[in-house]
Amino acid sequence: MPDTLLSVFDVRTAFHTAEGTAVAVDGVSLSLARGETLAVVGESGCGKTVLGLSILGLVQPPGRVDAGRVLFDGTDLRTLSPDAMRRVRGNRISMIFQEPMTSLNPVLRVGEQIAEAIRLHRGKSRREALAEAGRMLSLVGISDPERRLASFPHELSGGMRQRVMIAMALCLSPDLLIADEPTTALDVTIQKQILALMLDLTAAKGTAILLITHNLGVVAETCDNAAIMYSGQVAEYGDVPSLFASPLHPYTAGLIRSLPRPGDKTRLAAIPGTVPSLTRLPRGCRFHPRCPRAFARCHSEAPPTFRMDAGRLVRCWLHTEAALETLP
Amino acid sequence: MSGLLEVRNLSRRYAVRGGVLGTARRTVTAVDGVDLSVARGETVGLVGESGCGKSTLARCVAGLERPSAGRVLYDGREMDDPQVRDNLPRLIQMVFQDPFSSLNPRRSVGFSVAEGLWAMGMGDRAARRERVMELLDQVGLLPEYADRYPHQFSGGQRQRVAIARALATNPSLVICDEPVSALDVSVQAQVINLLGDLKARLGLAYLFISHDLAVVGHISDRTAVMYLGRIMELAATDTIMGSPAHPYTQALLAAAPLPDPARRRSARTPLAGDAPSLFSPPPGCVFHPRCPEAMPECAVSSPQLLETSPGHFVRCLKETP
Repeated sequence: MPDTLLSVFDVRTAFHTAEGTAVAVDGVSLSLARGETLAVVGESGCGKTVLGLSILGLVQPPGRVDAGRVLFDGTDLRTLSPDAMRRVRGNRISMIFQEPMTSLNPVLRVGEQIAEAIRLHRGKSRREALAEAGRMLSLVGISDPERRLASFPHELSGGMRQRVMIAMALCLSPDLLIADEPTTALDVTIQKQILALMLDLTAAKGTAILLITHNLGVVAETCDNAAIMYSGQVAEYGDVPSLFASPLHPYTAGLIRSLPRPGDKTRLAAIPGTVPSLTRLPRGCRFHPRCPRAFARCHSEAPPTFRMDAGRLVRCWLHTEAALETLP
Repeated sequence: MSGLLEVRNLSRRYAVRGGVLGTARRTVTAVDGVDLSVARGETVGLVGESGCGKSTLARCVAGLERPSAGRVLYDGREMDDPQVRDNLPRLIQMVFQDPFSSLNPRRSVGFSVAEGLWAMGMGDRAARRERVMELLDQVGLLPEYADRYPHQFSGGQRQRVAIARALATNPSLVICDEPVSALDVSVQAQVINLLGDLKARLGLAYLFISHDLAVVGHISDRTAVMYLGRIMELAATDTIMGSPAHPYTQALLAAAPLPDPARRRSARTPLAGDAPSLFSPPPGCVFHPRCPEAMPECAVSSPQLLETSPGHFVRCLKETP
């Protein structure tokens, strides 16, 4: 195994509400090497965002991480005190969210916000921190960084705000960047700029990225490996070229086939039905009511995760025979 | 195919108050001299990034907003013609991005679907009820869902309800404004297929608006690309997707991430900068500050939308003889 930075073992995060318990992340295991770009892909409600928050220790009540281990560089983050965890966040793990306007403080100048992180985590003076913030802004391609340091978030365009977020996230050279739908709110030409920028800066510093997204096109163009999530579980994991060329899970295959492609007018192969509610999961395999290849066993018994060739993983009964190993 | 909708030189300007005392007046031109037609049974795609004016154009066509200049002809008649104005709901309907905000949460979906029929005085109570059942069936929902409320449906099902409501009055033209953008990938494909089936069965024409080139490319017969209120290129969809002439169309196509790792194009330089503000559109060609192929004269002279080959219109100086 290459130099592992993060491994998540059997994490279970549930929301305990009056209407019942919804297990948003149900036994997810993943690992991420230094400098690797891993995508966590899925549709709304699959648990991808909650998985990111679980790693960061940011799940809010009524949600709770009930079980599992989050090993980051040898330390189980779940055993850290809130203070110790706060030092890890920002310093060694940082994050970017979909809507920069909700993560930026609207009444603080952009420069102050970037400098705050540098002062708190690096103990620099205000003046040094602001100078560093200016260097970060020019690194993320913001022209006239001196002037922009004094801007408020509302004075910037959506693309510029996301650049500021990237500057904040990367100013402390973290080992891991968790980016949750970082380009979903942006236009395609801006999305392209932001993704290129994120990849260039992290590649230069050897930062690993956990990219949470619903967009298979973004995954195909930017990531090394991907985990496809469905109803709180990883349905399939593998390297991105194999995953797209020969998907093992019928859900992955269905997602890829259902995408319209420019210039192709043949009828789309849609996946029938909708994602089940987390409080009313079907018996057996969670995907079986929508699966074109379901057979008797899928209706009654939930499949385990099988280890396949080339380090690929799949949670589907179709692969019982080709499996190298059944994971506990 | 005969012309169903003709948009001629349509502009929509807004006066915006600004300044410290709110007294300074500035004008924003959201749509600037657009010509566009939709034939009976045709799907015309309208693609562009946020702020390009595509939704404003749609609202002008649907009669929800008055254009500041230019004309909208429906079946050869002016929008102000009583025959058009009084029958507008029977002619043009609209489907919006977010079905949750366009359906009344306190009313059953059957009521919402029937509302247009009731407003137009079409049929009695029993006939309307029957029509609702038929419409729900047509969009792939169970007829007994008529008595349920919007919150009981998933996003995809709500969009089906919104489509059923749009079809209630038998319109010839349905304007779809980002109808699948809020839906998950697997459900998005279901709704796109449904729109295709309904078009084939009912002979509908669509004006289909989206920021997603792949979706527009899949569903449209012709595609118009908008930027800062103007149409930059208009052609058969295969031409737009296969051999786009305008640098902006080319940039949009190059920026759309392809779900195909074998064709990774990260090497291509992305388009630089943001779209300029509508308050201060650049002189000359509005795209020139971001255009990788801009020439000195692009900064001064504003190109016209010209037909460079039959049915292919381009607004670019390098295509201007």
